[in-house]
Amino acid sequence: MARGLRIFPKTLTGRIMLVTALGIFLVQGINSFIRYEAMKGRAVVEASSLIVAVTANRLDFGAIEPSRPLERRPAVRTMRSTAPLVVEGFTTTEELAQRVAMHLQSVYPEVQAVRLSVGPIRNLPEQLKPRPRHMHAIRRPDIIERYRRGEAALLSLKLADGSWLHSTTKIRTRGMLPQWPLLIETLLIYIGVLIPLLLVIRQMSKPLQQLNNRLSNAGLASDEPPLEPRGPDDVRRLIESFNAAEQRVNAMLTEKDVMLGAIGHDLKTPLASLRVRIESVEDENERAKMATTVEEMVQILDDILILARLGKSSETPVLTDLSALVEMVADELGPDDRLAVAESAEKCRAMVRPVLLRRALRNLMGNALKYGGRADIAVRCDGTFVAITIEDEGPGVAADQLTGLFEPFARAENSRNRASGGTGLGLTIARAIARAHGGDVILENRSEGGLRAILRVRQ
Amino acid sequence: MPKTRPHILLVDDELSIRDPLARYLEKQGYRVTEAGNAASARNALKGYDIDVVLLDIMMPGEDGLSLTRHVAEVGGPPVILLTARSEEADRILGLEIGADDYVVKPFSPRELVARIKVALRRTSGAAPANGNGGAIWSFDGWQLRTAEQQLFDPHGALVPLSSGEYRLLEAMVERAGQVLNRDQLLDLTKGRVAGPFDRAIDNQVSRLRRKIEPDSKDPKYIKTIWGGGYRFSVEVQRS
Repeated sequence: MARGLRIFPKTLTGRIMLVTALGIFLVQGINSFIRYEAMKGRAVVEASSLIVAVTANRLDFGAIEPSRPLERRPAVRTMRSTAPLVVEGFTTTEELAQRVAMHLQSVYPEVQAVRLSVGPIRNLPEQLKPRPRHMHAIRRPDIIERYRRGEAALLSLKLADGSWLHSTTKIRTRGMLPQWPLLIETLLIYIGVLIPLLLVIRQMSKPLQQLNNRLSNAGLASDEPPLEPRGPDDVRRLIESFNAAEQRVNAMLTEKDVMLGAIGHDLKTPLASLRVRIESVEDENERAKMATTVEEMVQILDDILILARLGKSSETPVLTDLSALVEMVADELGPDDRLAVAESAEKCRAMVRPVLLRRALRNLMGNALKYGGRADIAVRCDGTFVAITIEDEGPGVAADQLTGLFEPFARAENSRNRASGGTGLGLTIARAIARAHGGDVILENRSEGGLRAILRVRQ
Repeated sequence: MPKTRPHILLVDDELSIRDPLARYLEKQGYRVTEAGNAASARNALKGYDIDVVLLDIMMPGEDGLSLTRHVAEVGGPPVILLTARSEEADRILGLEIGADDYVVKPFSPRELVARIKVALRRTSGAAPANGNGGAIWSFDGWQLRTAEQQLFDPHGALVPLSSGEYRLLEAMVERAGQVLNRDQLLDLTKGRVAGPFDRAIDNQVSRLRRKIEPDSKDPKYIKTIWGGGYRFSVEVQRS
């Protein structure tokens, strides 16, 4: 979108409100223009009647001298000429001129012709340019200048002697179009239209908002009950479609879990059968190898099942002494003190799923043992997180491979093939479990050599 | 007069497991009766003098857990569950309702035989009556729940124990105030779950102390008796 359009509101409500407001503004503008034109017409009539009145006065008193006291307040200026006056930019208003002619000629038969025209003041000869009414303004050229920006009505009468009598006056439009009532009117329209509109749009956009929140917070397949279809029909249908889609996704996910469970069970049964039959193999060496292969297959199966079912773990969180859990795992994996757990000053407890967390710890400590030979383990807590740090003395991992290690089935080096153990899911599982506990797993190389794994869970 | 060939009831709906396992066990010198479902297992239990029941948890119809409950209720032979699920929840549930032990499929037949032997030894000797009674032992705010085999600290937090540590603590808590020497403790902790128990009792005690003692250098609960062994030295209540 173009940069200039950034100010255009992004929300549905904002856009509709803006467009409506602009529309009302435009209509009000046209409205006031039309009214202004009407007002101007009336102003011309008023100006004309003023000129007619003054001109009639002049006709009554005969000759008109510019020095007369009346001229000191020249709301109407007059001039005589022998020839008709043609002023550029002045247009005649025939209808009005005829009416004026009718009135004037009925009283003053000497009037032979009447012309009435309207045009810009600045085009008039100096003698006919109207002046501001106040005396002090006469010495202020700026005020005069501003005064002469408007339009004037010019009445030209052809008298019996063939001379012309011209009179002008400013058409007073200022103050004719009252600003306040117009503003109040516009404001009332805004209130009367925009507020009900806002309510209607909100009624429409609120369910949309709700749908949006639900999708961004809980995702598509949440456990939450279906949304209640509300709002206008289109929105209602959208929500219904969403509910239906969510139901299908949920059904698919359930199916996935059921299927994984079935695969797990169905594969384990033949594996168990195989494991029993292995005992009938005579060659002890061969037997051991077969047993190891079966165990590896079971481990891969378990890893995949754990990963797939992590979100729907059946285990309930329990307040657990994590220091003791770490010691237990260290004890299970390296009974010969190759995993040295530093005795922590305080016990770190957290609400966790102990079986899952034990799995994560087993994976991390198992890696440390496998690649580092031995490891130092520390448990620390700060009230928000419990951090379990596992520092091994192995070769570490190239910096650019550190993050990639969390990818499923990743291994640090090509040389670390399956024979070195593991499914390549260990770190993926550890991280997924830590994240399910509001924490994470971080891997970093130690400056003194070896790898440091930090598992954090929320306390 | 002990029977020469212990009689095992093998209950599993999967013929592919049941059949080779039965032959393997027979080779190991056991008499094996097979059952493909809970109903025929009940018949076998009525008809024969069974010494150990090997029971698959997941079976169509009446499942293994329900049958375990039945066997425990009538005071039948020890039950070893065969489970495809390694989730601990299953283990706890199984042990709570009266199973003696469990193995996770696929299991090593040799390990299974080791566990059968442990179960047989327990029934031939004086069976510990308090085995799965679901007792809760309390001391100084701590709780040791025997049904779940779990220890909870005074804050109510689960304190994970290895099975060796658990049995050591249970043995000492049950005999609080008595001095127990290393041999006695070794005997008492050779429990029903097969595993590496040959580790020195001292080592186990020091690990246990790290988990439960406020100050493991100056133990308050498990006191060392010079020349004797260990004594659990706080008051214990059973409920």
